[in-house]
Amino acid sequence: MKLHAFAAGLALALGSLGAAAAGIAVIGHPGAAAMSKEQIADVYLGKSQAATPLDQPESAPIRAEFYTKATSRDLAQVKATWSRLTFSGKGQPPKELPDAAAVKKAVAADPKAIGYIDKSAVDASVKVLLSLD
Amino acid sequence: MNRALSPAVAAMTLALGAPAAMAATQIGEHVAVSGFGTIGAMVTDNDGAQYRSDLRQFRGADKSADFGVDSRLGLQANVKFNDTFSAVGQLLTSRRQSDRPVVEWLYGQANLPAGFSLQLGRMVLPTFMVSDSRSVGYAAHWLRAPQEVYAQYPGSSFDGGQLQYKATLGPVNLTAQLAAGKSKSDISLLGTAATVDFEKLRSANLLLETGNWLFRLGQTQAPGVKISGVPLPPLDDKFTGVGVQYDNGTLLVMGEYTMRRQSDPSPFDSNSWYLSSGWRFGAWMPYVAISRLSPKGPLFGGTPDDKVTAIGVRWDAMKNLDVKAQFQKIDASTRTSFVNASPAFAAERPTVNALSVAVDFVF
Repeated sequence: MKLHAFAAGLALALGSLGAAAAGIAVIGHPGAAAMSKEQIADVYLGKSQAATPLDQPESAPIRAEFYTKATSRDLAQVKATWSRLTFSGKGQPPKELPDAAAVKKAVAADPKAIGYIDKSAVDASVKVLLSLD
Repeated sequence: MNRALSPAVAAMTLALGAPAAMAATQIGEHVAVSGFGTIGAMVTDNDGAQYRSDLRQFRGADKSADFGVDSRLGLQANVKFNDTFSAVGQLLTSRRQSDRPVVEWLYGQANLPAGFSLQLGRMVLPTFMVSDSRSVGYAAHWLRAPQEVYAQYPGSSFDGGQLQYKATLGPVNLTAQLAAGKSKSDISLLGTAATVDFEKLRSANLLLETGNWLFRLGQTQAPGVKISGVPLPPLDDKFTGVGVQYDNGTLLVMGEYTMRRQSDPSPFDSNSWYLSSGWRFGAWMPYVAISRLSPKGPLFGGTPDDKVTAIGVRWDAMKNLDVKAQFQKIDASTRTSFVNASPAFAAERPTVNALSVAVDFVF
């Protein structure tokens, strides 16, 4: 309940900012091939090792929005999924970077890395693999 | 301080600090330390026997609340030496015959080319669909895995080696595992303390994940299993399991079916299954689980099936922490999930109602 109210408030706040409502771009190295939503979800839920996923901080609203749109799961569910993988030795959760600029820089430098940033932050150093609106 | 409380107290101490902490603490470039735990309390309406969550538990819950059935604490360190070599160690404290912490896992891993990897050391025994995270309450929707299925294999880890292959074939993610090694457990079985010695284990497992679906097929074989304390010849044991899970983020449905077949006189042959489903309403997830153990082998004494119905709810109360409550109606004729049964309890096989509450956390 509280979460819903919080999310609604957040959406309103973001909406009033305008720019943040542009949607999310899943980005990769300029040489990477486009990916489907299902492939992105598999990578971010630890089912596939086809790419190296990167996260934004838990405090960044884009993180929850990305997981809802790409995997239909909220952050608690995603954490439960990764705790299963971590404590069975099968994998470590996506590396968390401080902000969109850091994600962009890491993706531009690593052919296997993928990340998500606000569409308005995309530039020529990375390639948009999938748009989530 | 009572010995029975020690895992619960250890878990509680950490739980108080846990919500503030990040899940996993990175120490330098190469080492990550993380942990998980559960503080649980359970009470039943019958003093004739004690309910337990593991064959290795020699005590359990009855009419007076018990904190040892589900409480546990795990600490794990992952060390990544480079892209090829890594190591994982996990210490676990939970109620077993002794409450001392055990090294649950300690293995080294080498990533080989073409999707193969090799693990050597002490690892999870891959007997069931969620064997690998059975101790991690936070990873599961239910309060505990149904005992009618999960209590049938006494050990949870083995010493040996494992070859794993992972591949992505179009929309399907495939994982295949071949494992070999040994495992030994001290258990309480039908009122007798026994040591089960699996000297030669081998296990094959196949996991297919596609979209919201997961399919699992596995078999674990052990020739010449020795059970001390029970007048039986060494047994050839074959344990087969299939499992299916569907999770679209809102609806969860999962089930498993297992079969145990042993060499003559097939003392513990059995079939078992469970079916569980839950629905997520934001931070709340009510669920139901029905489970059944059908004893076939003569040592079960010709008792009817164990039948359990559980209903419960998971509440993601805060970051890295959930709260669960579960009610169970237990018709347990084989007493696999009970210990210290009185002669009257063993003869009458009453229906037992049980209530459990738990807090699960990761850090």
